[in-house]
Amino acid sequence: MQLSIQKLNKTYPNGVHALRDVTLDIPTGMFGLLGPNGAGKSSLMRTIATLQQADSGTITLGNIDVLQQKDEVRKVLGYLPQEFGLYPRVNAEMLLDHFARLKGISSGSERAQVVKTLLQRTNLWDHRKKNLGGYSGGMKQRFGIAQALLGNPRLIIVDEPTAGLDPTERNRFHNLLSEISENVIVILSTHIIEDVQSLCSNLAIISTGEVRMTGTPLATVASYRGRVWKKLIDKHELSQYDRTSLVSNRLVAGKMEITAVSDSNPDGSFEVAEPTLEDVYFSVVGNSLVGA
Amino acid sequence: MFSAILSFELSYRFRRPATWVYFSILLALTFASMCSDGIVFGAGNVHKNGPFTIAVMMGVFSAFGMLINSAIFSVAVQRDFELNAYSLFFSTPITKAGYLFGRFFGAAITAIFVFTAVPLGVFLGSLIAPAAGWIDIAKVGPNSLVFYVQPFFTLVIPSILISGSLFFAVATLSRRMIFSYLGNVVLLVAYLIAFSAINDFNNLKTVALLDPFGLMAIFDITRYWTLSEQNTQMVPFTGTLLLNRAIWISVTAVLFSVCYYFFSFQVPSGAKGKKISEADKDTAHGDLSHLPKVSLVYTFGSYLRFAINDAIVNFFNIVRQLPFSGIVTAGVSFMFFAAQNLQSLYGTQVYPVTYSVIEIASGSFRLFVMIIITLFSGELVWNERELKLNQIYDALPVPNWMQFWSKVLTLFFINVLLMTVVMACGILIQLSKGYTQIDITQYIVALYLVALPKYMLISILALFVQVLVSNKFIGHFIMVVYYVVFLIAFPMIGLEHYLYRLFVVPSFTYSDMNGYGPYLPRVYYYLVYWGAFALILAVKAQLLWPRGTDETLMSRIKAARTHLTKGYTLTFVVALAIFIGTGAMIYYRSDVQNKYLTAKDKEKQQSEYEKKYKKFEVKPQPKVIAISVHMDLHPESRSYSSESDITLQNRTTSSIDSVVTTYNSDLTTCIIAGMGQVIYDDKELGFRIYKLDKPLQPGDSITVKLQEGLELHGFPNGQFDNSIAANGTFIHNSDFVPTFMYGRDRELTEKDKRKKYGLGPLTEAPDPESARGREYNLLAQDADWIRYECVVSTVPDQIAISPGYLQKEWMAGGRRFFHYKMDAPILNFFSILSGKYEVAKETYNGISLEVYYHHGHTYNVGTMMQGMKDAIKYASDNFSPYQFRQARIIEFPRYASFAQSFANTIPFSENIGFIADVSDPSKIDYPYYVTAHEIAHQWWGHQICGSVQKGSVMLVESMAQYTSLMVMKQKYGLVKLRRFLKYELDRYLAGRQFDKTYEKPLYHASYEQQHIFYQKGSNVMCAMQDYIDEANFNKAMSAFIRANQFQQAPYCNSVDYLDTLSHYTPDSLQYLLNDMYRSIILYGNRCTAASYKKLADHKYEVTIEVEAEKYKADSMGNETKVSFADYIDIGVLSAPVKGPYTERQLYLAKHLVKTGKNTFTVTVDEEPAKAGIDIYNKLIDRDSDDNLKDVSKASAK
Repeated sequence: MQLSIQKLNKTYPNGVHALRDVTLDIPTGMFGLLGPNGAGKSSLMRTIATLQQADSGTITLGNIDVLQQKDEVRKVLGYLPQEFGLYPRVNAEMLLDHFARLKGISSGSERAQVVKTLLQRTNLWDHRKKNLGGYSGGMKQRFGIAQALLGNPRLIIVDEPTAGLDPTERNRFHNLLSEISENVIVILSTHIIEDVQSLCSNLAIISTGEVRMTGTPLATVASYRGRVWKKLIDKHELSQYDRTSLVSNRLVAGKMEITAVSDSNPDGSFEVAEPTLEDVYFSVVGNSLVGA
Repeated sequence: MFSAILSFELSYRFRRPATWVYFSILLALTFASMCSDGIVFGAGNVHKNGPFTIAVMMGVFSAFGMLINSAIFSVAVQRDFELNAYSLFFSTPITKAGYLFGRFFGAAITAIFVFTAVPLGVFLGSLIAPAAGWIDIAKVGPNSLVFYVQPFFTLVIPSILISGSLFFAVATLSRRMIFSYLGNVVLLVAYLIAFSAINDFNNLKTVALLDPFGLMAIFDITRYWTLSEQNTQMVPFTGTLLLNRAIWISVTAVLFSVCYYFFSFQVPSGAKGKKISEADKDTAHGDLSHLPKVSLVYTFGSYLRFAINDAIVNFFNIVRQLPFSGIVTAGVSFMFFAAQNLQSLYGTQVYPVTYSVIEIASGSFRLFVMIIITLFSGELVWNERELKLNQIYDALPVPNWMQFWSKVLTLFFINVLLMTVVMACGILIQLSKGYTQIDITQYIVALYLVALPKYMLISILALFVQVLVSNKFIGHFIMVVYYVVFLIAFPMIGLEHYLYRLFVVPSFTYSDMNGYGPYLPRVYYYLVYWGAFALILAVKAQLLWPRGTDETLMSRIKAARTHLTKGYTLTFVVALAIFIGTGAMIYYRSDVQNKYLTAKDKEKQQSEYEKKYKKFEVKPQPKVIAISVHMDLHPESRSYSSESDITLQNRTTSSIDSVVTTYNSDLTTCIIAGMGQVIYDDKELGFRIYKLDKPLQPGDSITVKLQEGLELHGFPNGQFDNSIAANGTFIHNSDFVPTFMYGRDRELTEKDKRKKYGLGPLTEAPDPESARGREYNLLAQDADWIRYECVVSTVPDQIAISPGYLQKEWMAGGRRFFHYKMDAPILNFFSILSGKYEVAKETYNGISLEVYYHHGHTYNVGTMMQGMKDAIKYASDNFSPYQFRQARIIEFPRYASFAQSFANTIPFSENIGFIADVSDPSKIDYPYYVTAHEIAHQWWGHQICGSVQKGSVMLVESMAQYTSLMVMKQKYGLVKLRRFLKYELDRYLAGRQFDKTYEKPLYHASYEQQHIFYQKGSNVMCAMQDYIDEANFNKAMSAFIRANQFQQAPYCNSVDYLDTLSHYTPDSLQYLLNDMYRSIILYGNRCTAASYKKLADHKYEVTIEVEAEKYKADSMGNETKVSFADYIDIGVLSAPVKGPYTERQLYLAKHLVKTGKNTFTVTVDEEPAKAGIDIYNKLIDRDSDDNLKDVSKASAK
């Protein structure tokens, strides 16, 4: 089964053109949707998650027409939104049980079992009787993934799950995501390149509402081999370079490292470098020169 | 610092649309109330921009504007928490004082600005409304700036600061808006308690201090203000008002200090409950790819179970919240408070019978249920979005209808809980008063079968509104507007039909005698009707349910089309069909089978009647001389038919060729056979003219046959006609017998209304000094004294009663017949009653005394017997013999609350004595009093009946009051009578304010001026007998009654009475006849100091200082001080022996009191406790509370 998005368009009432002719085929496994803030990732996610209408285009999941058969989609969907809250005065077990019921797990014993399993696997079992109001960000996020996995979903959408988590929690969360079955579609939207690199078998880079590139992380990076050039300069020298030819700059031990993507050495003074996903990302979404 | 924050706050506020919206709302409301004749603050003819009205309006608007005030003050600090801006503010180097004061005064200045809309609205209204012709120019007086400014500073601004500081403190400390609502509710309860407590005027002084908005203080200060005072004087900023403001401003200061003390700049700990510190190790970790397989079920049944489950979760979530329990607690306290005063009449309550407790409990709790529905419908619809849980929720595989109906179900559970609270409290109230005859069925019907569905209708509306709006506060506001418009405003502006008063279901009246009577079908038709409409709204709400992130209404409407399934369409169509179907059925019942007439329609009919037929008032008409009624009652089918013979005689000096009749146009049949030809018939107004077959010569008579019938079907939109009832029929002769004249009693009496319908000034009854009007008697003007008999049939288990003595009782055709015949002439004034009665009988002096009462209503039957005996004895001993051999009291259902005296027959409402609880001896025994009053009418009314002239009503009502007071005095003594006289005095003084015509002296009182001929009459008659001595006064009464009893025209009047009385009045007291009967005199007597010293011989010398003033009032209430030297009571009382009103009188004598300061020294035998002037409130005194003072022991000199 795969999720197929064709020519999806969305313009908000305030005139923001959030999605422009988005066309994507998403197979099973972890799919990374990478893009800067405001690229349209969440709009795309919400549209797939039946929370938002599209202006035009189609989305199909297997033989389900996502935009029309919303109830069918919801039966196989697990969704962890970018930002969410929980009833503060209810404990984790109760709420997860409640969600399980709403997901359609009507057998009490099955529900008890799946709730228990999920709480254990997300390491929340010890805190199952505590009110959700006291949960830390990481715990909340793990609870979020637990509820998303209720009812054996075949499509799981995880929107920027690691933003705001500390490194330990992020690591923990990555481990959780990596355990999810290879047989379901998992869409992970993020602006953190490492997330995609370490987790995803496929990815798409999206910017200003458009899909800029798709592929596997390895192949994508490989396609840039020999085209990425780097050079260390003094900070004040940045203005001497043609800014359109550069894709990024960053500070390294007081010096500035500038990167260009080009078939040849831009002015002969650069050195060829091993490409990273980051270089690809910057080259695709446009340069991100800072401070110049 | 302060000024920076203040100026930021102000510029923020004035850029917010909310500020201008509030301003506009207040402006619109005040302006609208200026433009409407229906909305009156104060009495009838008071200027709409007079100083009194303006002050009252300011009081009212600052009380009800507290909703706006709470919105303004609550957000002042709370918004920083809501918008998470607090961390930015709190990390800047501002001071706590600067921050809090800046925000508070910013809010205060904004609120003061908003409330300037009130004076502005009044001012604009006073200019525009009369100019545009919306109100009469006479309703507007000259504008004066100070009339606006003074109350704005004394009432509005303090009220803003008082309630504002409460809201500010609550919202700032709790950081949640909902607690501010709770503050609102608490203030509301304080206010409601204050309001309901003023029923007992003895509390007014206390209440005046408790009311945080000062309105009660205004009422206290202006309690007896006359029209002219209301239109010219500003409410002085003194007395209780000043004290009230001082108290409340101190409360404000305390509140603000508390807020200041507890407020801290610390960032809130965020979530509720303790933070969990998680051990930084991963314990049980499995693989998320191999989760247990589960089976997913998506059926209607499973969704239904989810809905129930969801509702249970929500329900517990709500009831555990403090604001919920807070509002319920407030409501319950108010309920218990209200139940302290169960249908109190003269301070005496009724037994806590179930219907009475249900009415007070559910009535007082109603507002709180509405508040809960309004608030928590918003919480329910917005909860997930506010928690940001909505995206998870909305992506779950549940249908919209489940989400919507789970909210409906939640409110259902809440309403069930609230109804159960009402029931539990009701039962508790009954038990706590020692009453155990609890009728659970009545609770179930009233609360679960009627009130619960009503509240569910409103709940669905509230949810629907919350689904539509983009912000829950807008939703709350729309609901408040809904309540005001459909519950309050519509009937006020003449839109009375329940068919278009959205979700308003008419109420019912339960009576012990007649059960639910005809009321419940109407309730259920409307419940089905609005229920179907609620279903339509529910379908729309489901379709428009905000799901996902496209929240604008437009995009939801667009999306709704895609959700539209067959199920929705079918439900919609079915609901629409039921709505239209029941609507049509209701229309048939209330508008076809019954007449739909609004209050305005009725006024219009009255004016039409007068315009068209007034000219027949002077037409010579024959008078009724005999009536023989044959009446068949069918209580079970609410119908009756009658055939009566009426004999009319020409008692004029000229021949009569035609007869006019005024009849009840609601009758199904109304035929007069043998009268001649109908030459004019106005079926709408009930006016008919017959041309006699041959003219009736003077002295000649004619007997006609009257066929009348009434069949009641369906239900009316307004009041039910309960004259014929399944149990407890009470038909008055005017219900079915036409009157043979133009009916003056149908004329509009209010000045404004007459003007509105283009009628000239009311032609009042002639003065008693003239001869006109003496040819008719007051009670039945188309007859003198008549021969009366009546055959009445009813169902076998009922007893039917009519004036006269029972001749025969028999059964025929499965019906029970009674034949009554009167052996002496009576007035053309009778009634027919029928019910399942139990009968108590006693004989006194050959007179059979009977009480016909409903099973179980035995409480006061003995009292009534005693009352009949005592009153008959007093009146026969002192006035003249009783003209009948029998006196009967007959209970009728509580649809009306009065007792009425017909010849030997006294119908007595279930409501005003049969269930009164007079077991407390300090209370006024009003069943006894009412019985005595009605028995007295057998003399005053049925032996003597005055002319149709001003003041004649005194001969009927004031005399009956006097008689009953003397009977009460004999039984209870003068000390206890004082309590009653104080009530009477207060009601007279209060009645003056609301006089819709102009005040007349007692001997000129007109029929609408109850406060004069009842209340002032009581005081005056009592005082007069006191001055000239009871025996002497009664000699005058006796002489008068013997001279005039059973007289034919010309009838006696009030001048005749005063002539008689003056023969029995010594010269030195002749001035009293002028003061009391012929003028409007008010005293301002008060005791300023009283002290005593013990004398050697165990006696006590009491020194009493009094101040006395006397005023003469004209008809407009303008009072002029007059100097005087009158004989007035000076008295001394002991401490109460046992409970209130058990003081012993130690000294009482009339002393000559002169204008101004007077000092009296008297000697008594016991230690005095109280002393003063006019201690029994015999005189009309503008402040009856200051006549007595505690006597202090004089310090030894």
